[in-house]
Amino acid sequence: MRHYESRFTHHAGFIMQSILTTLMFVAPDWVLSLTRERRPNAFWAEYILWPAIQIIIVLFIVLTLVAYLVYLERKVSAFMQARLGPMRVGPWGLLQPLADGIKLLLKEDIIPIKADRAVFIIAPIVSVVAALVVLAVVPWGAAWATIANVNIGLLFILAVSSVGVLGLVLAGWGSNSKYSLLGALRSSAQMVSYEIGMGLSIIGALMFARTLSMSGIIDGQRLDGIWYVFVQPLGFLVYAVSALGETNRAPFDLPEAESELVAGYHTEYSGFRWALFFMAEYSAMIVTSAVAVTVFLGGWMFPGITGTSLFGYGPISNPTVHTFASIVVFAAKIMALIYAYMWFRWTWPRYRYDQLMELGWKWMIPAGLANIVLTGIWYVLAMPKAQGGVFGFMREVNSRLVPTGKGLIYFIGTAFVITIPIVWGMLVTINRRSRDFNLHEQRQLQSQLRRERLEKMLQEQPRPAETAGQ
Amino acid sequence: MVMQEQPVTNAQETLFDAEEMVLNMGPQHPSTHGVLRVILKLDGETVTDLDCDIGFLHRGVEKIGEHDTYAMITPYWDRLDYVAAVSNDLCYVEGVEKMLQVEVPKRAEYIRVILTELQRIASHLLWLGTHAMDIGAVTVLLYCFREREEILKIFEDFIGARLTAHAFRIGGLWWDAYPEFETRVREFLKILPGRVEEYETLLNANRIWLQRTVGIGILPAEEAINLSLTGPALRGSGVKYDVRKAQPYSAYADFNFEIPIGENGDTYDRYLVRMEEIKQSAVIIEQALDGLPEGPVMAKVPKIIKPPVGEVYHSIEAPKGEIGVYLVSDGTGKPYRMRIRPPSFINLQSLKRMSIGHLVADVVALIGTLDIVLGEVDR
Amino acid sequence: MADDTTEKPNQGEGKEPSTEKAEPAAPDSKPVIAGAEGPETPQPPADTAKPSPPSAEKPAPPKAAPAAGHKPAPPAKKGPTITFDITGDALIDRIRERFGDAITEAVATLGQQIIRVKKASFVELCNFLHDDDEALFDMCTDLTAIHWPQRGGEEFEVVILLYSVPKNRRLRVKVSLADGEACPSVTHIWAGANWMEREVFDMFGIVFDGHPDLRRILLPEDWPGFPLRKEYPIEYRDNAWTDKHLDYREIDYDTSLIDVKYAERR
Repeated sequence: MRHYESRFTHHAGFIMQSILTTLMFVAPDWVLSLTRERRPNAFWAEYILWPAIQIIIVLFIVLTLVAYLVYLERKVSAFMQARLGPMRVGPWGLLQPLADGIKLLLKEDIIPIKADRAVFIIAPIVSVVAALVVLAVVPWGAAWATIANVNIGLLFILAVSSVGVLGLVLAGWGSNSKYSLLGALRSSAQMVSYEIGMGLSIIGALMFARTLSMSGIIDGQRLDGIWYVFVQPLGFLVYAVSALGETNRAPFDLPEAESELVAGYHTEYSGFRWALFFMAEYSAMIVTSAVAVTVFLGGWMFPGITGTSLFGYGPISNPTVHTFASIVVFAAKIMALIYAYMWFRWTWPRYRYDQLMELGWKWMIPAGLANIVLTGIWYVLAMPKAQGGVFGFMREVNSRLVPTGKGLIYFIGTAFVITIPIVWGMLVTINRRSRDFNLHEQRQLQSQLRRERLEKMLQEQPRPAETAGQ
Repeated sequence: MVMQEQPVTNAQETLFDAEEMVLNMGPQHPSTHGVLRVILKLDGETVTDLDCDIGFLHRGVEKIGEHDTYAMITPYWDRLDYVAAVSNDLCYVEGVEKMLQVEVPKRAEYIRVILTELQRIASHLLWLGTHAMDIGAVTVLLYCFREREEILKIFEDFIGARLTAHAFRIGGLWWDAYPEFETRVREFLKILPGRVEEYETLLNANRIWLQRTVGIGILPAEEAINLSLTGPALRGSGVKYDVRKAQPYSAYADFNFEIPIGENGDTYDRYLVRMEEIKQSAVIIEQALDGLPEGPVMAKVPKIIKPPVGEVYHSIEAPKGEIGVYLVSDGTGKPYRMRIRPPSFINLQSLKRMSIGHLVADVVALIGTLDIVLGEVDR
Repeated sequence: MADDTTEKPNQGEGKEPSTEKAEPAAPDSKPVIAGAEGPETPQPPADTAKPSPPSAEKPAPPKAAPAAGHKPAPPAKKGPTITFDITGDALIDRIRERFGDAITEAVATLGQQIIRVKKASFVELCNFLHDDDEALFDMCTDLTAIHWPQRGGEEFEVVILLYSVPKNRRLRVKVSLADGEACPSVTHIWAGANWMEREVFDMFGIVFDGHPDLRRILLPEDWPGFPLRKEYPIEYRDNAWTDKHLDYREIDYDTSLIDVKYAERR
């Protein structure tokens, strides 16, 4: 036991001192670097205490963020609809989530009589836990701003967010209502279908990143010098649509829409249980946005501020400030995507269920697969000649293939100019017999045919049912 | 919740068996536009049979029509199609004027036309808002209500009420138009085209909207006529029947306007027809304002209205369809029989014919496209 | 210009005003003789091949004829009639020629034509009106009934308002029924008459033979009575349905009597 003779020693706080002593005992490196102390105990610091602090911070922030996302959605939708949204509770209605939270907590806890109690109670918990566990591997910022930097981070995210589907089905079953069950089954079928699309769409980007670790992917974008959205536009599009379908957001929100007959898996839930489902939905939104930002939009990097340099203006040199700035950049990018989520919800009508499933299986999945194949072809062609490639647009740096300047142009060019048209042609071919395909042209064609028919008929004789009066 | 009773053999079987399911879209439902109960028989998601249970809003207006004097009955007509109150009044008031053979002054007729066409625009805007909201585009509802608000403000200043506005009296109007009426209506007409274009941009070529409305609820022209469908729903099927042109009433013969006709008889056509009708209404109002004559607004009508013995049927083109009044008079001050020909009630019959074969999610779109108001369905 | 209609709704060139005293609506037993004014055509003439008659303006058809020296008849107790027989109309003549006696009356009032037919030929007439090339009444605008309790043996009158879309022409067909007599249904001709007949059944109690699904439409299934009959009172009253379905409880506002046990619910 060492006595700390440091500036933390107070007069009036022996207990305080001993707590702080213990904390310093187990503090991680970077905190100690602030105080210039040596680190005594690695295990406790690195694996128990520091992650606990990180978890608490992240949970606190994310849950508050979820509550305020609801507020933001109301405000954004209000402004889009020429009105103001919540304005009464607090300045500009900023305390509205607080009021909503209190209200939900105080509501009567209704459990339907014939419902399966255990299942009914567990379902929202499963949903929320599955949605929140994923937050552990999301790279919120540089350096220490990730809770767990697992080297299969992306796979972990996809796998664990699938567990949320279980929560849905349990909710539908536990409610003991035919309609809740049907709604739950539809929701879960939709989520599972679009998860496949999500998984396939990011494989193209993974070919460049060569790793499943989330920070590794960001690193890959830094080393390759380009955000993957530019070399994988199709992947980004497919991912965006699949994310909408995965999180049951408009235009794919039929299973939970108000005007739908089967009111959805969370009909019988009230009060805080319902709030848990809501939290799970918004956390899923945050997570899918985070994955999109990480894989396609460069994560916490922003040229000139964090991660990479912009025309010589380097990233911030002070590591702590750099990390905090990276958190801010990441948050800003996520908010931009979430704003897009909300924008889509309040602009577009809803797809019918069969149209929704058709979109997932006949448009997203073939597009994702084609994207993988074509990206693979361009990648192999661009490998250095020494390794068997044709164009040699990449070079090996630290045992990692990095595209050259020409390589970047090549990848961007092929992605936009060749991949997209080929895939579009393929999708059109697959879907050309679908009734809903290109309705606009169908109608114009029909109108034209009809006009021709009418003219022919009018030449023969006037149709009685068409004309009346003037 | 209506469920068929099934023998419990095996939990699995009763829950997932392949028999038809009976689904009840109850009287309280966000998309049934009022208290309408629709009982669907489903095979999976396809509708095999549909039955409407109505009467929740039945108030016995026809019975009241036998016990009140002619002038006292007029406000009841506002409450039929409460969304388009002003035009219902026109039907009844003109019917009585027909029986009395009263000639309404020209100025009153023109102002009646202006108010009725404004009400038509308001009704179609509300229809568009609720229909789009049912299909999922919620924002359109709020935009439509923004425009409707302007019209209701004009009504409030003229008539005194926004929703169940009782403007017409037997013989003309009670008040003349207030001085700023014309300017306000013209201002409104100036902003209307831009707004309508907004809606069309949002919806007309929107892939999702097309997928939800094209080919849904196709009703061929002959069947539509046979089902006694009237109004924009009938015109969407290609039948050129509009009471304003077929039997012009009020001052409509003086105006130059077109009647939009649909082609295929599906939901998208009915949507296009109603959007075009909004524009045509604006055209009519413009012409009426330009040609508004001076003069009295009320004809000389006796204090106690006693039409001669006889009967009359008079109908007008309400926004929902052809609304008519069939009055049988026995020479006293109260009608012997007042029959309301309700367009929504008769249009609702077609729901069954249109929805069989479609999916459950389309039933909501079809109820919206028929544009029913339960006040009129149930009277 | 008829601006005031107090004294004489100056109609009827009718020589015989309708003689019914306490009864409403003329077209009952005595067809009124028409004035020299031609028959009425339906309002604005459409592009139809109609015979000649001068198209009357909407508000005052028969008044426009200071015709043939007929003096306006002295008002009867009810006032002169506005109803008179149809002559010279091609379609009505055709109908008369085909159905003969079954058409008991064909009158026009205020420009609207009404035919009264016997029940036995009702469906045949409707088929004729629907299918015939000159008639082409393809839309049934409305189907309703009127209750005349004063007339013994003919209490109910079922009225169909027909409309021809191609010819832009309206017609009204009436059938008289005794109390308890059933009326043949026309649902197989005009599908739109389905709900209209159901409503007539609901409100008047007239049974329609051949209707595919005759049950109450606006009122609950087990409602007793038929509201639009003249003997049904307009005021509210308790009946079998309200006793069964509406649960009234008298609540005394003395608070000591309020004893709702919330704890009884789990």
